[in-house]
Amino acid sequence: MAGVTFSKKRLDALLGRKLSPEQWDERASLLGIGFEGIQGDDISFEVYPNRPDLLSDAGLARALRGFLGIGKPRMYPVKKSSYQVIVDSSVAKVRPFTACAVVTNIRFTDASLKDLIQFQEKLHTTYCRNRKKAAIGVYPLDGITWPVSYLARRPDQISFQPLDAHKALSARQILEQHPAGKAYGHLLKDADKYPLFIDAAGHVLSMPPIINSEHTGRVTTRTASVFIECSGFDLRVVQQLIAIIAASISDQGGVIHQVAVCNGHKKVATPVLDPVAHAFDVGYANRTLGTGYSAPQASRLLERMGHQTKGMQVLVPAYRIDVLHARDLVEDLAIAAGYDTIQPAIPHVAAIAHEDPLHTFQRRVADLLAGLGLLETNTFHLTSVERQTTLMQSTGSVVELANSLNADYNALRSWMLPSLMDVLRLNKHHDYPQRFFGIGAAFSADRQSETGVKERMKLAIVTSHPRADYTEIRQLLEYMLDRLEVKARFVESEHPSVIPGRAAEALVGMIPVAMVGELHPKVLRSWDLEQPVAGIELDLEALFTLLRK
Amino acid sequence: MDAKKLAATLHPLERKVLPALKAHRTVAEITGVTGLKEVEVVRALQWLENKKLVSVSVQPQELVQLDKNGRAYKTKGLPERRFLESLNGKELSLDQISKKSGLSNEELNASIGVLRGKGLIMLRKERQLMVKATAQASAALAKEWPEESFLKKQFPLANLTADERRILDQLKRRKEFVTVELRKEKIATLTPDGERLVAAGIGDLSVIEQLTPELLASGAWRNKPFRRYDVTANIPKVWGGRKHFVNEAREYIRKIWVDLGFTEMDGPMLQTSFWNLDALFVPQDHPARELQDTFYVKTPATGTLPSPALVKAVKAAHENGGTTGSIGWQSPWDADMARKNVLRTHTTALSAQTLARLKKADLPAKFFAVGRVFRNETLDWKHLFEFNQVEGIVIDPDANLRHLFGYLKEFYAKMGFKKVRMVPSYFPYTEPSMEVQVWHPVKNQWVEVGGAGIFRAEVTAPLLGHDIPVLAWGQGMERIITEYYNIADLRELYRNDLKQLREIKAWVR
Repeated sequence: MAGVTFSKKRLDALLGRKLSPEQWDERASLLGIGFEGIQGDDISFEVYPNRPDLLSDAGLARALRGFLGIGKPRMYPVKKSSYQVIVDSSVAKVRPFTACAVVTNIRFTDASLKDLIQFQEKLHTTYCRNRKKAAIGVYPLDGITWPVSYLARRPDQISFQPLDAHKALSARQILEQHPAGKAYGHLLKDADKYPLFIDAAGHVLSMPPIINSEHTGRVTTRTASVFIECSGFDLRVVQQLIAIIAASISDQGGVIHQVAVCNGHKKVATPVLDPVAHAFDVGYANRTLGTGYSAPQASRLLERMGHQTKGMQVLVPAYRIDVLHARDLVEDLAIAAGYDTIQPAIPHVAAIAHEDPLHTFQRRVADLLAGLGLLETNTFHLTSVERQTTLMQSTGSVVELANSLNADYNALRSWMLPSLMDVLRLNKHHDYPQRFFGIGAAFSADRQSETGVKERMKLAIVTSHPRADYTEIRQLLEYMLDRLEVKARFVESEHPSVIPGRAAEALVGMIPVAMVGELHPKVLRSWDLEQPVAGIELDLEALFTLLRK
Repeated sequence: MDAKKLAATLHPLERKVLPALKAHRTVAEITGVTGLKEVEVVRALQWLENKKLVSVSVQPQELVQLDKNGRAYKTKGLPERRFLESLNGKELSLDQISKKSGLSNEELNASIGVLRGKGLIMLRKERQLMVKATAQASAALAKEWPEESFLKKQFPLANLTADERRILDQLKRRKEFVTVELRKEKIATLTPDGERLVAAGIGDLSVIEQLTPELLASGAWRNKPFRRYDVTANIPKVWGGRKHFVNEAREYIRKIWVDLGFTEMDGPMLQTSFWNLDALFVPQDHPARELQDTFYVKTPATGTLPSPALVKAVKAAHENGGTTGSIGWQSPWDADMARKNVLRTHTTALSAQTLARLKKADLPAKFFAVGRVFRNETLDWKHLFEFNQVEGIVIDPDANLRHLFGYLKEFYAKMGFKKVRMVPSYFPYTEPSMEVQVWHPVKNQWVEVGGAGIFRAEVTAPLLGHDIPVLAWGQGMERIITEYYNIADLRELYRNDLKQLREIKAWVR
């Protein structure tokens, strides 16, 4: 979601109606726009990423006008013109595509100019993925000598005065010193040539996606006509962007002129603001929504979302780039009707439910252990390598995360006992005896599985108090195994976390299911524990598999 | 209650304490005269207070104890006396005194200070400091000094006299001699009811305290009355073993979906991006793939992709819509990105896997899961990096949006939320998409609890092999249950504090 703030006075004028804060909240959310509040003349919204056309006040007002039934969808005429942008083959490797427009008859005010700058910036951060996918430049038309060229040059051949700088800088200086260069310079890091828009007089308009020039790139309230370009890596994306921006300025009275983008012998006129035809079937919409709209009803509802119907086709405005499939129009229909008009219903179709047997088994085991007076814990799967290994005096391998924000949680646990040691440490200030158990997934490397990591359900139990010992913890385990009718043998074993001679492995047949023992004083000290601890680590999934046989 | 009946409720401890209260007021005093343990006296006073026979007030009181040196001098004698005795009428150097008396340097210095103050020694500076007793010394040695009388007292000492306090002030200046502790002393006073009861006499009532097997066997219980209990008195708490409260809520949620005829899904938390994102038509340049949002794994950083046919269909859906009737994202799809292992960011990854396994003969079908999901967040009161999602899908040629609303409304009603509304929203994998909101009666506002929608054809066609409606939702479990448990800080859910685990209320929906 992207947050936008508009001038309420201007938005009221664009909408042609005044709404109370409550009405704003209700109407906007019914349309799928988050209303954030009004402060003075500032009115704020949250816009979903599929609707970049709502990031300008004119675009938002346009959508709401239709939704509230104020006026009909309008057409977006584009005037023919002789403006030309010549795309040089040198940009093919750095930033191959551009789409452009010229808009005249604009009357910028402080508010509308502020909105245009915000619109451009929000498009950059959202749809353009921080200028990585595409970037937008706006220039006063007056200073430009046509035709404009879009080309790429070696950095050492580039020098111009960027916006907000006092003198001409080299391309390298711009990347190193200018705020915009520092912020977006990484996008040109691997390029041996940098893209430029240059006019016929040789003046640099801009170096996309970094910065405009001070000479030809500063729009003010005195500017009446502008040249707009979008450059990027995807022709469709830059064409959509220019359509969205042109439509927004046109809604404020601007006159749109075509620019011919010439790429070798290919010539494409942009922007294209003709609606796009999509096949649409009312029956499909009704089946999806569980409704019974007639074709005229559906057509009236779609009109409120800015679409026009023509037979079995719906004409979708060029700025509605989110429409990929007929289903998108079904949603528009439902929004226009109001989600609240769709009545909840549960179909009477018999279905036989199944619980996941391992989860059910897990809960049965938890019942048994809670019956013994133990408290169940619920701990994170994320932990640290240190807690899984060094603090336990053990050296097992742990699946580490690549990018955790938190050093205390930089790995996935491979066993449960450390999680319970953490719980004991946390509860040191409470009275003893303390007896806990925890059931959860543990992660370990496994070549057989899809990700190379397997997850197994494990159980750990701890008892801690001045007399906690091997006998007590094994009693707890045997109680559980007896009730499950599992016969286990206990054989002496060694474990780095356990006092030598006080560790056992529980075997069912030949399959080891658990480790039982008294935790080594070194382990207790590293966890800062002052009471003896006896514990169990049990492979619950192994036990489950055995029981199902 | 009449005096006789009241007397019959008295516990043996109360019977001993009550008469003692006529003359004594502090716990220490009562302990002394009754021979009871301190805890017993305190307990009896508590019960008597409950019966309104005694009122107990707390007064701060100074309590004097002998410290290490004080205790030693009590047996060995004061150092200044040993100093004076060692002189034995002669003038001696400090070394000689030290040898004879066995006093430490510190004690020697302290003794000189005290004895000079009392005018019992004279000092002369030679090569060494020479000490000689004065004329008064032998008379003084014959008497008991006030400090010595003080040492003989019963410690801990409270309620000091003016004389005692003067000596205490001196002794406090000496090293590790005495300690003074401010203790809150309980003072018990008989209430008018108590006075009357004691005056009337509590009688030498012989009662049965505890019914024993012996009394039962002999029938002797018939000969004596049972002591009456104060059944309204507070009693100590006991604690039981319990399942974790979040798991209890989770069980309830599982039951709701099973009751509605849904089958449970399970699957790994670590998934390839293919299942978590690509199969769900999340574009490859979507911010959800960025490092700050999703946990990636160091090794193995990548996994393997499913069948080539499925991968091909997903690739086509992304690039141009394939056979789904969509135009797709119109940008190239990279299989390497789909191989990256991630901790699942939503349980919808399980839904995608379930759809891929489903056969036409299984339809219609309904599935649910309650599972952990992960987001690369810094832990704070409203963000967890691990939490639970309640996932559901309905695959049915006749399914429609009304059913989606119906299932969710039913679920939230069973969770205690009567008012639910759907607000248009956006997810790359559903269309229509909605945010589910419930009315929060305490906050008096709509609260977002999850997302829902109908899977796009770009999702269902590659996974199922054909496009049929699949209703889908993912609800945040923690948000739904914190209100019930009255928890504002999400971290409280997984803190595992002993007191909280014991005392938190049971799930009784």
